[in-house]
Amino acid sequence: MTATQAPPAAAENGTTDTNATAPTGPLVAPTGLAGILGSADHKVVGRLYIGAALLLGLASGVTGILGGVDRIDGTFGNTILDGETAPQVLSFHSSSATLLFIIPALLGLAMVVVPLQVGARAIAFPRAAAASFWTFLVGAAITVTSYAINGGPGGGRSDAVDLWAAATALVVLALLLGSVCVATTALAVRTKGMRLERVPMFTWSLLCTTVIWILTLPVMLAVLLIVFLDHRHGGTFLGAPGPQMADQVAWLGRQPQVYAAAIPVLGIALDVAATAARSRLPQRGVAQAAIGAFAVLGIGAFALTAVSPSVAQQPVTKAMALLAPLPVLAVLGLVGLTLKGGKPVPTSGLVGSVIALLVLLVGTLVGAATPFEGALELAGTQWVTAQSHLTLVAATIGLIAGLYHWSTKVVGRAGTEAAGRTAPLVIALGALVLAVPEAVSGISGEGEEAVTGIEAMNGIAVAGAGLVLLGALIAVAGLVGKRRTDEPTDPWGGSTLEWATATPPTFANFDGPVPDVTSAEPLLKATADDDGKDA
Amino acid sequence: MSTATAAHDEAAYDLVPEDLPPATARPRVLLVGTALVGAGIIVAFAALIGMYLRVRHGVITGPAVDGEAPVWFADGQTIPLTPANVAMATMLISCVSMQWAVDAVKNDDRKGAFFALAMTLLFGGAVINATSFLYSQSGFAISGGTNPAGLLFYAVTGSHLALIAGAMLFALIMTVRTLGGEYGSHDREGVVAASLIWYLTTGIMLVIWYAVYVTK
Repeated sequence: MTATQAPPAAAENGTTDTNATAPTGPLVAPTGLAGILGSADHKVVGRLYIGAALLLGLASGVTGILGGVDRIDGTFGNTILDGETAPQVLSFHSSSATLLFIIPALLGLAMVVVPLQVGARAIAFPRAAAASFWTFLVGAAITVTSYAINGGPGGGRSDAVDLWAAATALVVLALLLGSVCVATTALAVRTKGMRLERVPMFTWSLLCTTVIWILTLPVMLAVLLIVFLDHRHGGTFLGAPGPQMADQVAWLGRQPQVYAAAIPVLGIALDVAATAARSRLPQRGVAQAAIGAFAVLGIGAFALTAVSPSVAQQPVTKAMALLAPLPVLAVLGLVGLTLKGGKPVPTSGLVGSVIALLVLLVGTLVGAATPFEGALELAGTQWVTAQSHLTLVAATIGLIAGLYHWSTKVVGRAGTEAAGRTAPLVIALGALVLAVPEAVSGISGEGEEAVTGIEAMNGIAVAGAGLVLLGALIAVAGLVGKRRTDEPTDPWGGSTLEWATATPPTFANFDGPVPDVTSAEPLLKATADDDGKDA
Repeated sequence: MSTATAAHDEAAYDLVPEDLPPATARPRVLLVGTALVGAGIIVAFAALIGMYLRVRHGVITGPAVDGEAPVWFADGQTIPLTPANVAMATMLISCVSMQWAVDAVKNDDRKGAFFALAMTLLFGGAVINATSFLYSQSGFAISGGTNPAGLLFYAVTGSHLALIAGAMLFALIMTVRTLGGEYGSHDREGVVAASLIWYLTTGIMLVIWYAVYVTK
């Protein structure tokens, strides 16, 4: 089957000839099954990524709740799960939350939105983007299967454990390929005049995010290779096979690397705020610097347990943890300034992104407490789990805000505003209810796998996890609905190029040539003129 | 007029001629993508080689084993330098042939480009052959022993062999495309991208040659 894509002249135009971006003939999108399986259209691939990631996220959430219910009595592997299954469930929950849910979901959103924002007719390397998704899907399916047949880190079936390592490596490889496509689009397929300082903040944040993923996820590949070889040949390096194998890959979901999954939250919040306020974003340079700084603080590939068990005590790790709240605070301030300078409408995107920023701020502040020694010995306790949960939930809320904000471009219909406003509140409430018992447990010095002595709080944490899942389901329900015949092209009055495309965007994104861009808000002047005429 | 309608109207864009900046030439798409992939490859090998050196340092500066000073490689295990040096020299020579291919494509010398790319692929095959011979001479076992020297040795050098194979495949595709007329003086992006990966592969081999083969 041949993957369909825009013609090379359009797809890979990144040069100075704007006319070359004009479609040379009618571009017809494939329909039916071929439109899904054989498409290299970035919107289709992005939607597939988002759909698959949401399903896997549901599985991750359910396993998290199962693990939580199992340890309500303070022990682990003694109630609804047996001693062998419980660590596997916990391991699946922690690794899938990042690798199978939040990273691919954000990558999918980026694949849909970034080419539209930079005025491109297609993503860079469209076939590679499609290959990235299908590789991810196969890798994810094998990963889930390996857990199901008693594999996973520390599983009882040796071949299945090897399968888990190989499948996880495949997932990482797929995500890397997708990251290269998105980063290259932002760097080299921008339309004429769309300089890097003019790109929308979501695109900038995804550029930073994908570059950080490209610079850190290969370390995961290297670790998985070692884990695979070591496990297959007797475990002379990493020790005897057991649940501790999960520690070798746990750094992906822990501070500081976990922040790499939350960088897009900053970009989504800034773009949504400017659109909701119908004003220009002030201090764009500061905004870009803040996002860039947060991205740098999310580099955690050096925190390898295999070679550096005491990484939490290193000054660099401590400094990164202490500095992480500053960029989030800066972006919160900029969002406030933007809203103050315009006439903000409390859209679902705005409500969601502000809540996501606040939860992320709490997450970074919780993380900033970990470097302190003495009275607070929080490293290696449930406090760290609380920090990871808060950060990943912030990224989830940011993802939902982005999905609602760009719903007309992503799913071709406007999401239900009530659901879009309610879901982030429910999820944020759930995150706090989940994280507080974990944090309290951390202060009391409990390890990461079991909470003892405070059984009632275990129940509260499970209730919090349930609220997070409920909120996510509300959000998805609000996005899925019957499409109206008169879906607006731009429901919010946006000022960036994606709002110049149809709903849903056509195969080649833009109906005509994309004119030179001369400002960061190419459509704002037109909107202002419109308002003036209407008045 | 609604915003949506305005957005579709070319005149609705914010066109201010006096404010128009000079056109910026974008980097080539394939080259940018290749550079990003190259960055990922560097990180992966930095992690592998870093783990090798860190663990090796930990072993040789660690406590004595059975009253004897700790050693990284067990008795009977060694890295013969002759095949390692031959492989390194071959890889360096292949860079010359690769650059020759880039120049030949630039000058529309298709015959020369084909010959140079074929030479490069041949050199790549020779490096794989030399490394395989090195494996047969070294006596390393991937498992067993008191430390993970064999495991890490094969992880680092085996990954590099896979990288060479990947770089050869990339160069082969570009050879076919060059023969098909896709690349020439008008556009040599693909061949330059293949050369970029080839030089990177050589650079990584240089590091492995010193850090693993020579230093042992």
